[in-house]
Formats: sequence, structure tokens, C-alpha cells
Amino acid sequence: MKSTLRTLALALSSSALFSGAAVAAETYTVDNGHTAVLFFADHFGFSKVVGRFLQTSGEFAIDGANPANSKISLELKVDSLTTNDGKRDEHLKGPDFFNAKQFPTATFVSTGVKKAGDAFDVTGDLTIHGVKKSVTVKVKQNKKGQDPWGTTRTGFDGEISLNRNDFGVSGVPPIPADIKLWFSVEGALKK
Amino acid sequence: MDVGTQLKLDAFLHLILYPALALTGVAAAGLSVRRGATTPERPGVLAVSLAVALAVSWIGIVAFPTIPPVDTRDWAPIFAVALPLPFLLLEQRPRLGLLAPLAALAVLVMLRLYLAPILGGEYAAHDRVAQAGGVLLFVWLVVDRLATFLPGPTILASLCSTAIGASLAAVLSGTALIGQALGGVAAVAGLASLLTWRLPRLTVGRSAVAAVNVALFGGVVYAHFYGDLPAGPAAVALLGPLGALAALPLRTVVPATLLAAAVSALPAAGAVLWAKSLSDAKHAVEATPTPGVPAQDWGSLMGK
Repeated sequence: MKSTLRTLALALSSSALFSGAAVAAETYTVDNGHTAVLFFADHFGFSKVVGRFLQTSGEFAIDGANPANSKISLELKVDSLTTNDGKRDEHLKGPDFFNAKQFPTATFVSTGVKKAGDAFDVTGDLTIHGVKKSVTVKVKQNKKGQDPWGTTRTGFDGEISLNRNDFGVSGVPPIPADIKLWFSVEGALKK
Repeated sequence: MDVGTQLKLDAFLHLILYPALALTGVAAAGLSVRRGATTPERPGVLAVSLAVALAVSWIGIVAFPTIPPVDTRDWAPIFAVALPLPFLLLEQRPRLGLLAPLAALAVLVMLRLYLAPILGGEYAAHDRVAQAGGVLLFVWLVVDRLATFLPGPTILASLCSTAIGASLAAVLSGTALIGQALGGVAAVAGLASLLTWRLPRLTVGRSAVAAVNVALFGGVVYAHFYGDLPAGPAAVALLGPLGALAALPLRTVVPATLLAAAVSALPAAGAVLWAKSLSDAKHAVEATPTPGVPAQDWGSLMGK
């Protein structure tokens, strides 16, 4: 999950890079209070179980002139996962799923960014449950500018579909293996 | 095929059929090998059969292991096959007196590798790990000693009851996958009990005891240190083989086996009830039932 968050953060920052800002290699620190990494799992077609990782961290560097130089790293604390149900959260953090004691973080570290229309394809190493996979996340940049207190901020949204089995997150049948991750990441310009 | 039917079919295949085929297939192959003037008893055959069946069971229920292991649970099928091997050699040289050192070494290897990512930390402080190691070594030596006095089916039935208790306690503590894997250990031990009853040439030696111990202990250690199986129920569940002591006075196999299984089920049942009460108490404060909606079971995504 940390990896996922990192990925999201990276993706968001990548979007900023692509915005074409004149400043090269601007580095943003992920603002946990304004960052959300959610996952959606189907509940037999009745509804979606929605989970959120409450603790995210990381940073992203933005190169407006050359998006390929952008870098994103994001970390999620698996133990901060919540689905608004204590028993289910415990189960998800346990060895049947994420095994937070053995794998306390999930991370995403970008390895490349490309422009894709009005969005960006951010490729990077997503590590969940100790298993590292290269994934590409499509992200879209949000506004870049100053908040009312003068801090320069930007953010990105994106989503990616994953098969948890690819990351060794076994789960328990018949819980579906396909999971959608959605993220909205905001960063404050590092001073 | 609906989901429920598919689940039942999968459970039958991975818990019963595939391990049973592996167990009987390897045993039949082992017994068919002629070995000249050697004794008709083949303790090593059962050990190898158990090791293969336990590995097949684990892989079917959990996953094929990554090599080298990423999640330390992937050591389980490797241990199932590798750790009984020294005990095979010990059976060839029984006078060496290496049982306790070898058992201690096997326990040490399991704890070291299963708990490597968290050893010395909050969840696996050295004193807790040492206590776990002491319990495991004690149970190992007790089972080994009992296996020398009791018929093969009897000690295996006792281990089957013990594994059932550990399995249910793990499931009730919220570790369903490892609980199922321990259910696989119970199924293999139960099947082996039946097999050794019908085929007396399949004797239960130290290597067979090692094979079951390694699988049983591994599941309990993993469910305790990475899951929420509390130490008390885990320890009580592991004391199940002591129930086989009740069968010592009996001379016939079937009554001794049934008695050992029944008495071994007592600590197993105690562990299950204890685990359930601890789980219920833990979640009582956070339960916020919705009127008209059935309460959730052990908390899975499918539980509501």
C-alpha cells in the first residue's frame, strides 16, 4: 500500500512536471493531510468495499521542461489502512492479505514519465507485500499555484487496476483479486 | 458453477484429494521398492510421503512459494521437505543421541527464518521467541517419545486433533488462510493415520514425527507472530499430543487411536474456545452493528 501511495504521489508529481512550468526540478513534499490513496474491492457485485491508507509520505521533483527527468517517490503505511470496519481492517492488515507486521510499508518509485495527451504515463516500481513490479499509472495534473498562505502547491489524480495475486497478497477466496487504486496527491514546494 | 460450490470443490481438492493422492502415491512407490534383506518396516517411506503431502497441501491452499522466499510463509513447503531429512539419517543411526540437538536446531531454523523480518522487534521480542522455541521443543520431544510407545495411527490421530484445534483457533483469531493451511496439516495427519492403520509396514518414526511437527509448528508460529492468534490458545493447542498419553495402557490400535484423538481434542477445544473469547472481547468495543444487518464473522471482505 505504501508503494501504491508512493506511486500515486509520484504520478501526481509527474503531472506537475508535465505542466510545462519554467522552473526545473521543483521538488514537492507530499502533504498527507491533502493526499488520499483509496482502494476499491468488489463485494459480490452488491457494492464496493472502499479502503484508505491514512499515512502517506514522499516527495516528487518536477521538471517542467523535461518530464522525463521528473522523479516521484511515495510511501504508504500499511498499518494505517482503514475500511471503516475494525475486524475487516485487522484481517486486511494480517497475514491473509498485506501482512503489515512483515511488510509495514508499500512504496512507489518512478522510473520514467511520458506525456500521454493531456495526462501522463508514469512508470515506476510498485512494491506491495515485498513484491516489486513495474507498473504504469496514468495521472492527470491538477492546479499548480500558491495557497492563501503563500506556499506553492500542486497535485495529481490517477488510478490503476491491480491484481493482488501479482503481489503475493493471497487473500481468501472468493474475495476478488482485482483491486482498483485511486489517488489524489498534493504536494507543497520544498523550500 | 456458483461461488459456494466452487469453494467447496476447491476445499475438497486442496485439503483432501491432492494431499491424499500425494501421500498414498509416494507411500505406494516407497513400499514397492525392494530392499533385499532389510526389515519390512519403512519409517522413511512415511516421512517422505508426509513431507510431500504436506508441501502439496500448503501450496494448494496458500500459494506456490517464491524462491528465495519473499513472504517468510513461503518457507513452509521448503521446510516440510527439507527439515525432516536429518531425522531420516537419525533413524539409520538411532544410538547417536542427536534427537534433542536436531529438534532444537530445526526449531531454531524455523523461528529464525519465519521471523527474520521482525525478530527482536515489537512483535517478536527475543524473550517471546525464546518462550515459543521452548514450547515447540518440548512438544516435539514429547511427540517423538510417544511415537516410540504408541502405534503409528494413534500418534498421528492425536496430531490430527491438535492440528484441527490450531486451525480453528487461527481462523477464529482472524488468520483464515493459515488456519486453512493448518486444516491441511490435520487432513494429512488424519489420512496418514488411516493409511498406517491399513498398512502396518508404514511405521511412524522420528522423521515422520518431524514432518508433521514442522508443518504444525510453522503454521502456529506464523499465525501467532504475524496474525492475531494469541500466545495462550496457541500454546494450549500445541499441548494436544499430551492427550495421547491416555492411550498408553491400551493394547489394541483402534481403541487407542480413538481415545488418543478424543483426549487430544480437549486441549484443542480449549484453545478454540479461548481464542474465540479473546477475539470476541477484543472486538466487542468496536462493534457497531447496523440494525437489521447480520453481524460480521471473522472480518473478511466477504463477511457482511
